[in-house]
Amino acid sequence: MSKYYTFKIKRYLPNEKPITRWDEFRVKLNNMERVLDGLIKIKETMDGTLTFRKSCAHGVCGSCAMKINGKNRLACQTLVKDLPEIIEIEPLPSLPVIKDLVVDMTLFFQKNDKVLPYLINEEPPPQRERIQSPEDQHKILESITCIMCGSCTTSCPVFWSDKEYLGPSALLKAYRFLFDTRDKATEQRLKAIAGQDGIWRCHSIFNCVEVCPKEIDITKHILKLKRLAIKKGFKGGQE
Amino acid sequence: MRYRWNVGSLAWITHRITGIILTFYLIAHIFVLSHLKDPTAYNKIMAIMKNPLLKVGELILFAIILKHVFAGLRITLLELGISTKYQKTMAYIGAIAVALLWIIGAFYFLREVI
Ligand code: SF4
Ligand code: FES
Repeated sequence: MSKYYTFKIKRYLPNEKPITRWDEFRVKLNNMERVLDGLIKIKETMDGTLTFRKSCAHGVCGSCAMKINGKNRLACQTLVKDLPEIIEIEPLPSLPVIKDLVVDMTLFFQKNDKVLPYLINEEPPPQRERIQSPEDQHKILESITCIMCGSCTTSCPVFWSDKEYLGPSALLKAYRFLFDTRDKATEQRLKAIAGQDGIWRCHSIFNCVEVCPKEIDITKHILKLKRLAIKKGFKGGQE
Repeated sequence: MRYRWNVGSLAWITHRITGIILTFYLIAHIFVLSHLKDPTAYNKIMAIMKNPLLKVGELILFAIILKHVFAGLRITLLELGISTKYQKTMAYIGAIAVALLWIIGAFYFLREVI
């Protein structure tokens, strides 16, 4: 079953005047197709200047995150049949726009770098890999599924108002290593996230949880980080 | 910028707004209390307080306090480790509790003043 949808797309064209405008396209899509299919059809048959990011088209790479009908989501994971006939598309909020739906993610990735997103373990490595038991793996499994699409951080009102805030995605990454039993840099990591731009700025608004395409309960993880930091603080940094 | 509201963000924004209102109310409250120095001043202020508009204001204030208390309880429970799975349920229960307690409170309050 196919149906016509109206795509209202917020354009940002730095070399044109006015720089921003709303364009409308009528696209026929069947109920198996996703917003990304509509965007590709528009680009291929109506307006080749329309710019957006995409790669895998299967919710794996995290490059097609955008604001669809007032909510951040992956264009390749959002079925048009679940949306009203008028589909309003904007770039991710609160990051600088480069063109149309493409935002500059530099700031987002800088936050990620700040939480030391790599294993730190000074002990000499064993002959083969550092073993992790399935139980230990389970502790961090949910946080590992993050594809770094940026939906969460750009949906967070705290991040909107304060670009210094690490944001849900980076804090989730911090969790991923803090609760990894092979990692030994607990002190260093807590220092990176417990400052004034870290965990304490999270007000449990749950906007991030609402949008995460991998259905990660990010707030749950941040709350666990808060409890860990408090426990460490009371014990003078000792376990 | 328009962005879709959801239970969590609504709970957060009402918690904030009621908190700001209560801060200003407390300052005003302490200011008025500091003027209750002698019986004449007391009677004068109490006469002003009889104004029906202020009575309505007190009912609104009661709702604001209740809302703020229950929003705070929800956040405290979350921080203490009650599963975030229940964050929406807790917000709904809080809203129902606010409504119920407000109706009961308003009933006794109005019985006193009318
Ligand atoms: S936590 Fe979810 S919303 Fe945030 S970057 Fe990872 S996959 Fe995207
Ligand atoms: S294109 Fe890869 S997640 Fe959508």
